[in-house]
Amino acid sequence: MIRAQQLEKRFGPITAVSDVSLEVAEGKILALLGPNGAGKTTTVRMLCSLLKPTNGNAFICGYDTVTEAKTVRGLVGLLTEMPGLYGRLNAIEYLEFFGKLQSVPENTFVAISRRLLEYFDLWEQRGRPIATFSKGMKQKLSLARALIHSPKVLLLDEPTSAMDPYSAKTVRDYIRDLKKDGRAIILCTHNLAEAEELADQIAIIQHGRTIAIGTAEQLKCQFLGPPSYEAHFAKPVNESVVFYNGIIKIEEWSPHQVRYSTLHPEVANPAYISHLVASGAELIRVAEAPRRLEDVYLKVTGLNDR
Amino acid sequence: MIDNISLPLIITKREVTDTISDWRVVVPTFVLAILFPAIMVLGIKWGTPFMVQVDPDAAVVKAALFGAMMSAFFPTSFSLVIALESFVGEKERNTIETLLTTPLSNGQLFIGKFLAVMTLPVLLSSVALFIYLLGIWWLLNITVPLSFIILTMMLTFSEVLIMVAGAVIVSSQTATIKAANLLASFIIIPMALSVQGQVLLILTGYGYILWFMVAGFLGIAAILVRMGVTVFDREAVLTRENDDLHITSIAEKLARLWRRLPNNAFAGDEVPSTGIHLVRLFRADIPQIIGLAKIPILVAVGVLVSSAIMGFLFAMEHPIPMGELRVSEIVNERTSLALGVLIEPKSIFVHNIRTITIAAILSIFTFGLAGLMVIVLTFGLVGFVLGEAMVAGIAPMPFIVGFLLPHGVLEVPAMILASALSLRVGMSIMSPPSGVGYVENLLFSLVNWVKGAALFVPIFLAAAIIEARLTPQIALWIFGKL
Repeated sequence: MIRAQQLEKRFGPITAVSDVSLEVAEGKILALLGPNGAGKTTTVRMLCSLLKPTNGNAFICGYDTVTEAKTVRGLVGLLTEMPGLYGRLNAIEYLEFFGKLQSVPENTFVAISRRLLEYFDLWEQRGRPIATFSKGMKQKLSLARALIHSPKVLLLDEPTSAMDPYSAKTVRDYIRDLKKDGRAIILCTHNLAEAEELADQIAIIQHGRTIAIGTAEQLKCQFLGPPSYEAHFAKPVNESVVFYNGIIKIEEWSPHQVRYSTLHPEVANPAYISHLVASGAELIRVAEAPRRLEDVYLKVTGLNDR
Repeated sequence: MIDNISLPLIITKREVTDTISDWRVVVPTFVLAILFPAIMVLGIKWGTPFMVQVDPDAAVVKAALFGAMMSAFFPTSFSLVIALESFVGEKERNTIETLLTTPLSNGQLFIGKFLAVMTLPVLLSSVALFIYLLGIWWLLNITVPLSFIILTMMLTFSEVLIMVAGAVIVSSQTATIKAANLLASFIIIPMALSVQGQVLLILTGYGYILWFMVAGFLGIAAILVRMGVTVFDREAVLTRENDDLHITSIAEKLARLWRRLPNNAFAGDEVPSTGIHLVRLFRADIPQIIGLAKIPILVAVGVLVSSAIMGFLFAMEHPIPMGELRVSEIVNERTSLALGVLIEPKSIFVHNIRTITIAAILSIFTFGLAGLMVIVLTFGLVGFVLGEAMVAGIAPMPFIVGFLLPHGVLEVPAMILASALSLRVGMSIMSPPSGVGYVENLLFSLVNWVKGAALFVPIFLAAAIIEARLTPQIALWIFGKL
């Protein structure tokens, strides 16, 4: 539903985006990560026909973002990074304004707006001027605005950044529902845990180009090496028990635990566990060592080395 | 088709509602649209005894017309505030991007906002005029002619159009209301001057000229609206993140444009900005500037020829009675002046340079017309004098050879070049090349004018010396023989 091929955007002498390619299918979420100024917002703006690419092209549901911009803007719901709202309007008036601009029929609008406001806990506040809303409420209202025309494609820039944990969870749950409903979603975020939790694919952009793309697991394997496992013992073990030649590589060990890696966990783990048990080790647990997306991000972007 | 207008009207409705729900607008609105006309009426009523003493027949009527015009004009001053708020204000508050994500075209968005900005000032202006007319009829029993009411409304409408369209262009160059307000003086000052001119015309009894002013204003408004439609582009609106109006930024741009060859002025950083020197200026920069100014030069030549013809034809239609024209006196006066009694090369040179410089500066505000006016006035006069001379029985060729040709050979091309570059200065803000801002293009045209001055200033100097020293001798020699 979203397809971008070698997108490039120059502003005079400045190249904001030099080579971004990505694809998001129906019912999938792509998280777009990158440092500030990496080109995420420019990429999103090109995808929703706000900016014309200098080179390359992008399609939303098969429609060209340049030649069929009007159609594209009707298919996309955009939540901007800093959503300004009309402070004198109330929530209903605000949604009504954008609903009309998106040509949402009156009866559909009534049902959708109520459903969205209720879901985001704004229904009771619907008559209050938006200027009196908290940051989180404003962000939820902005998200409701982006959804008012039931877009097939959603481009969400930091959707939970200003929210309290409960509101953020509510929004994340709603994003999951949207995914189940078959929407294609691009999520720009600096919240890597959120990205890992929600996204099917992760793309990392730096200096205007895609430097890594794949599932979280693929990226971890690619940039952090094969997964590590940790075995914890009830009683101390000696070196001869821990070391096991062949298909595992010991990364570190102590009498109470060992950390190892393997390229073939499906074969190596059962064999190693059998070896430990046979050697008399009293195993408490064996588990994959946690690896964070943040480590991938820092490694890929080179920010770790600074 | 219905969507074409119904969607923009949704924006118009929201913005108008938003504006009238702001007490900062409502209070001055009430004062300007209701109280001010009432005060105006009372002022005229109380001032009538004094005015009658000055001009028993016309003073009160003129004051009534003046009052009508002021009552209608004052509420229009809101248009600038509302326009800047609507265009650059939305950007400053980050609400514009959300609006731009809707399926409306750039034109529809522009129309919706334009109508919103126009509605209130025009409505207020009409209300103020109505209150004033009612008051002046009720208290003073004066009925303002319908034609003048229509004229006032059209003037008001065209002024609002100009201010709003100007505000859109100003908004396109700035990212904050503060910066936009600074630039808005480019709209307010000419508009204030024009209102003073209008008042003067009414008070001196030349009110009919205001109809021509309306036509001129509508023409300017059409140009500005066209520019506004061009600049109100999603990409341009979103990508202007910073104000380019800092002195340092302007100075940097000027320095870069000065160092670069005109043909590479807007190239990327891959094209280096090298130092400029005199040889390059004359060998490369000035030829390129002339190349870029081909069309303005042709326009200037066309204006020159047509002005001379118009002046000539005017002289033919309005000949000075033969008894009042003594060629010998003209020759004697001219030559005696030229022989050094009054006219020095310096004064001719300073006068010419001052004129073309002022014309270039005024060109910024007049879309280049001031630059052309130098040619119109000079050659209109030349044509007129030539025509009168012919009517007086003087052969044209000796007149041209004696009085014009010696210095004209140099002065005319210099004037054409200066006027053409001034025209480019004025036109620069109307149609900058793709990807180039208005301010940058204006700076480019000003830099080109200054570089061009390196050619036309020395020519003007040479022409001034010839005009003061050689031309009178030749004229004396030719007409002495005749």
